[in-house]
Amino acid sequence: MTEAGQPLIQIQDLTKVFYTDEIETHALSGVHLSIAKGEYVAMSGPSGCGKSTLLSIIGLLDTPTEGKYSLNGKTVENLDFAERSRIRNQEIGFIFQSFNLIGDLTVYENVELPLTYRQRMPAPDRKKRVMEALERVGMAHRVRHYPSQLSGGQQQRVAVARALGGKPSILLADEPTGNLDSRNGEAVMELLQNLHREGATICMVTHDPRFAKHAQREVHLFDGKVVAEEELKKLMADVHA
Amino acid sequence: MNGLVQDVRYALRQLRKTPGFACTAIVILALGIGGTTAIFSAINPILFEPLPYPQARRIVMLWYAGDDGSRIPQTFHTFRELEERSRSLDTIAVMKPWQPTLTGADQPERFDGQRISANYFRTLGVSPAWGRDFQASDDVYHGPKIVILSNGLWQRHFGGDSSIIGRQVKLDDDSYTVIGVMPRAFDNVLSPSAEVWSPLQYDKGNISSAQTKEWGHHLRMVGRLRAGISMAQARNDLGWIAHTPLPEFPRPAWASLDRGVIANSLQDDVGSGVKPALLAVLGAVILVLLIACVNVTNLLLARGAQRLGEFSMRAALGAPRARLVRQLLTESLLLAMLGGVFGIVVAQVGIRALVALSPPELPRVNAIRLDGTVFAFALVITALIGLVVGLIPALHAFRSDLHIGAQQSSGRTPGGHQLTRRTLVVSEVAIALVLLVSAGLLLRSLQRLFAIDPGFDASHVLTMQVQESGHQYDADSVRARFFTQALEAVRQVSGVTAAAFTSQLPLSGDFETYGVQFELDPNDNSEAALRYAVSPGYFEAMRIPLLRGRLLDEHDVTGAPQAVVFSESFAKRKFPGQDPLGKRVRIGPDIGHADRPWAAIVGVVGDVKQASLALSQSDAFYTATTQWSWVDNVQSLVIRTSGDAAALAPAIRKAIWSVDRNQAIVRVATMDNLLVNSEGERHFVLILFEAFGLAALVLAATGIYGVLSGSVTERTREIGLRTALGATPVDILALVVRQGMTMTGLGVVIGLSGAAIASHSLITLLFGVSRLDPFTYLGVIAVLGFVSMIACAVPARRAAKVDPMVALRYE
Ligand SMILES: Nc1ncnc2c1ncn2[C@@H]1O[C@H](COP(=O)(O)OP(=O)(O)OP(=O)(O)O)[C@@H](O)[C@H]1O
Ligand SMILES: [Mg+2]
Repeated sequence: MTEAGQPLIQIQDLTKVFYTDEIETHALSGVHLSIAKGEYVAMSGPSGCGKSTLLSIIGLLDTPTEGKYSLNGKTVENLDFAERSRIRNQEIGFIFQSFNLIGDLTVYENVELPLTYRQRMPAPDRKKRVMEALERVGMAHRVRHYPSQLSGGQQQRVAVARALGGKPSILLADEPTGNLDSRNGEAVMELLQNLHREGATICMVTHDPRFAKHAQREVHLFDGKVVAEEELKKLMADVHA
Repeated sequence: MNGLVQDVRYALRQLRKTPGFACTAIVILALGIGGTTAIFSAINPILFEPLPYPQARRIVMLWYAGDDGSRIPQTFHTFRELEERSRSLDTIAVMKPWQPTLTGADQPERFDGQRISANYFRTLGVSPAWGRDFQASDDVYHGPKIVILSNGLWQRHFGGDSSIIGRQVKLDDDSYTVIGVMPRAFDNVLSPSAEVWSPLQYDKGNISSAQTKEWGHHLRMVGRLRAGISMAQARNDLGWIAHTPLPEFPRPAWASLDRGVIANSLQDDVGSGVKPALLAVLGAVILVLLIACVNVTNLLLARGAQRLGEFSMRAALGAPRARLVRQLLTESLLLAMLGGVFGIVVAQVGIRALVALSPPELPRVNAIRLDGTVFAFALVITALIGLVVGLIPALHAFRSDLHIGAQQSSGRTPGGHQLTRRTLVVSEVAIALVLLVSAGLLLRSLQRLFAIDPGFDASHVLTMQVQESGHQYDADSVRARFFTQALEAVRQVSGVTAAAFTSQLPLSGDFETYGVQFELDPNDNSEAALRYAVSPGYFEAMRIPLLRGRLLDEHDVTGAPQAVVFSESFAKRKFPGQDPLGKRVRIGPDIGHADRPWAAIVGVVGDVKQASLALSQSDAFYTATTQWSWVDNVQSLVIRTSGDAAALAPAIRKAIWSVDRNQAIVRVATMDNLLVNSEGERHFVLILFEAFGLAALVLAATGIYGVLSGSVTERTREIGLRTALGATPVDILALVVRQGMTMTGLGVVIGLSGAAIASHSLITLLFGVSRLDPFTYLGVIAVLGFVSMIACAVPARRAAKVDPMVALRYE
């Protein structure tokens, strides 16, 4: 395989089982997925099919029960907590449905936060990165504001900036427009598209077929498995029948 | 009224629902209220409550004013002059301690008592419950041998027998007629341990001969102001008498009343010695109470935060805010009341501990009890606490119900209550620092004191006082023989390596000085020094080092040339740059008697601390017992032992009683104990401060813990998010610890200024250490820092374990 063709994310036969009160939930059962550098992937599927679970495993927030996962060619299933934190911090940018900005930090401090967890990043570098990221999302004029003083769309743009600031290998977004009205949702999607055009790798979970169309590729999940689009339609029809 | 019952019932149910919270709060309040009440009960009779005498404000102490303004006991003839001439005083009385031995029973028993002039009880405003009081006709030279007994002694020794009046009792081998028994309620603040009283019976006729006990400064004087006379008027009157001597009342130089008479109310006089210490202790316990309140307020706030939903719900249902506030105040008052009830129990225990621990200097110990005043005090502080503790949480609830709905979206943490809680914790840390610094300064003072060389080796030394009584010992030679034989017997006891008698024992409360006249300057009569009449071997037994010349030995006996040993500083001061050996002096009763031979200084020994470790009064002279003008009938025995000194006491008692079964042995104590007890007041205050400091430290630590723990719970999502963004467990630990240590740091900064101010009130108790001693302050900061770290550790570890997944879940 050529260097460019090397997938950024390679997942093989991944399963995730949750054990709660003696009930086993098979959230993921045998997922194969690879995402190449520079790709824009949209993940969709019915509620409870395992999208968030898969995303959190990709984002190293959670560990798979079984299966292989390599990020940037490196196997990551068995890393310890601190190592995972480090990789999360450097390789992955998260965008959450509920923005998840910290209320008592300013816009600037929120964006700076992941960078403060990096060792040996001098303050001037940090400042440069933060301002760059905020400019890219068009929020540089609000650095001193607190999240509560911003609209939902603005908050999500700040959250995108926070994800960008660390120059991650991939942006992971779990329903980034879920808490936004359609106009603000559009704006955030446009932002992601621009970022993709500039070379960012993005993996986004969304319910909204309109937004899924923005992506280069759509991955459909059903009952913990990746399925082809036609198959999904058939399965969905069965469910409704 | 109905609403109130409902409120109380609801409050009770709320407390039952959270038993852990309720118990913690009640225990903290009980300790705070109980501690404060106990201390108040000790201070109230000394500083606030009038003394237990009719019109007690009119009772005044009258001291002879020393050249340096010090308070000196009066002489008998001064008393007579003032009694005769004073127009501002109804009655005056003088008193001196008396320690008769009751013989005739199977074991000799020595009592504390007082020799008093006739008007003593009338001056206090009390009279015997049975029998009669002393009359002027009783208090005459060679007057009748009569006594009045305390109720306690009468009950204990005579079974409360009502036929006691008129009976004879044998005191010091003399028969005394009992003429009265004091009431049970009589509290003799001037000599609390006295159980028997007899008239002074000094000689009024010898006013013109100066070398008599009637001209000695050893009587305390008390008077009762005439009705309507103010203290200022009395002082004027006494001043005028002092400065206009009359020919019929000639005065020697040492009783000239040049500086007049110092008159203070008895109340002030009794409390003056311990007042600074007591006020410091009161201040400390109030700080502890404050910290306890802060802690409970914090607990209530935390609970209030959990109950926000309930409050909003009630508000939504139309409950007026005043009603909600009332409900919360009811709860806090109920908590305080429960705390108060248990606090009374704590106070009872505390009072008992206080009395057991109290130093001998603490006056009115028998008045320390849980009486109506103290109870009322406890009730008032309990009610106050209920209001104070409930107010802040109530106000918070009041404010927060305005924000329903806005609460969620803003997410602008910390909530207002978090800020309040942190502020409260900062104040807890500050208070804890003040208390710990105070305790630390006291501890250092005591360390400094006990590091002082007392001038002798206190370890493995047993001491006791042996008192001869009985007419068979009237002759000096018989007396001396008894002590010699007793000493022989004691030396035979196995485990005794050395033993000796001394007329006064260092650090035991003994303090006796006599004049010294120097051959080089015979007209200077201003010199006085501590007098020790000792048996040979005293220096060896005490291990007091010989610096020059020789020690006293068995050749220094009656008839031999009189030998005197000087203390180092006395010799240095009187003979600077000269050899003191061979210099001659007259001592004590010999002064002024040209027919008496001069005594020669034969040796110089190291200085010894007599009154206390802190005082460096070290002018002293030693003579052999048999070379002094008389043989003291009360002497202290010092015994150096090879093993445990205290364990030898029974064997030694037996040895002395083998010589004469009828002699009282009292004040048995190891020298180590005397050393510690000589700093009894400081030690007492230190123990209290240590207890308070520790309580404050624990409360402050739980405060820090509680706030951090609550904050971690509230911030779980934020912490999860930080972890998701790449924070390592160490980052999260640091986050929480930093939050905790910031509170500690702020508390320390505020507490430092507080401690600097508070330490002013400790100045009289400090010794050899500055009130700003950096070592103490740094030490306390280190302790606080360490304990705070521990308090931070648990919540911090919990935070570090927060699953980053919580960030992903949509609430
Ligand atoms: N921590 C957990 N413990 C137990 N079961 C879980 C846990 N997290 C997820 N699950 C279960 O795993 C399955 C997949 O959940 P997941 O959150 O991945 O679904 P989703 O596709 O993101 O759904 P949605 O579109 O509603 O967000 C669900 O059945 C869910 O109940
Ligand atoms: Mg989901």
